[in-house]
Amino acid sequence: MTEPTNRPNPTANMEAARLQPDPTPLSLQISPAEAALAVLIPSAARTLTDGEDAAEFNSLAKAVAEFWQPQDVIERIQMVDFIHAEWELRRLRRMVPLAFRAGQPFAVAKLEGVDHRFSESSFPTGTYRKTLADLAARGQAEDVLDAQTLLMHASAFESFDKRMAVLEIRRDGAWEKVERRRSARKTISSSQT
Amino acid sequence: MSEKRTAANRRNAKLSTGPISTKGKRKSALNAVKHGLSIPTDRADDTVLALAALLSPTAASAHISALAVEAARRIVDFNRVKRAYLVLYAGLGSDPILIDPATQPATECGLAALASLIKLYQPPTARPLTIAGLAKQLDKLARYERRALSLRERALGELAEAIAGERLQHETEMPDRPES
Repeated sequence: MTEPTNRPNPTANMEAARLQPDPTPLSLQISPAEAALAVLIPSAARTLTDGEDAAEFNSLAKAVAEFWQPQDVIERIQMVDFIHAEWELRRLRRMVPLAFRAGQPFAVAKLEGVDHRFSESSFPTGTYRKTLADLAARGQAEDVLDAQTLLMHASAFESFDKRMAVLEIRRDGAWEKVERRRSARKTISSSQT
Repeated sequence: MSEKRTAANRRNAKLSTGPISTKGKRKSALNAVKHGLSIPTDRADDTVLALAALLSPTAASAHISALAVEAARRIVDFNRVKRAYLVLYAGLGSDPILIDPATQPATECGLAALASLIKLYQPPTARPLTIAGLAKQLDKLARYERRALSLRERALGELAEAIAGERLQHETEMPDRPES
């Protein structure tokens, strides 16, 4: 049996430290170094909105990284741009048809001649499909409804189209920039040998 | 202006004591709120300095270090606009218009669905984000994004050029290695 000593017990100290409240307040801010690295690493947590598929994003990021094999920080920045542009394009491609569909009841209301702000007024719940059938019976078929929807929200859909065009150019441009850099580097190194 | 007119103006001005209704007060409380997207990030910002360290090669000259700080600053500015886009899209919420329409029952095509589609999730005090509102915000952000991206690309280009120039100069100054 060993004699009890006055030496401090490290395990007990650790336990005591664990029970003490942490003097450092929990910070939701990430450190500057982490923020700097975040620019170079595509992250689902910082890119996705509610309802978007993290697995789809991660597989896109993985595929792009494997294909690009970024060789320096600047190439990494371009790669992240590529991934973000492609992701936003996918988001908009999903969103636009749904926005169109969300705009259709406004067109129905317009064709029916009811109050434009009918979502807050007397257009009763459950009669939307009947209203559609009534419109169809009067010759206002789906194409008329689509045309009216487009007319009512033309400027919004134009903005979505413009954004998608910009994103496509930016996505393709990111890859072209990297290719140009790589070919320039190759030319310099071959001229030196 | 006549004295009578001036006196009337002063009297009338005293009548104006700002918004009276709660709605008006809430609106005017946001008068000074700006997005700050056009204000460049500080050069001494910690994230900028950490990013500049990643951008500049080891043992970089003072000139390259300065260019790296400038590039880092422009990268942070551009990312700030990207975050603004994310906040805008996040305002759409999960249910409203990012879900697959095929998964929605046909009965949802009524006004209840419309209300959830159009009146998107926003703080109670904020005005609901509509399709037109979203498009308008996208157009507005695009202006800042274009400028931020252009400045970032220019700064990165200058940095890359300077690094390549110094590397070339360093290699030409080195004595020729004996051929094996």
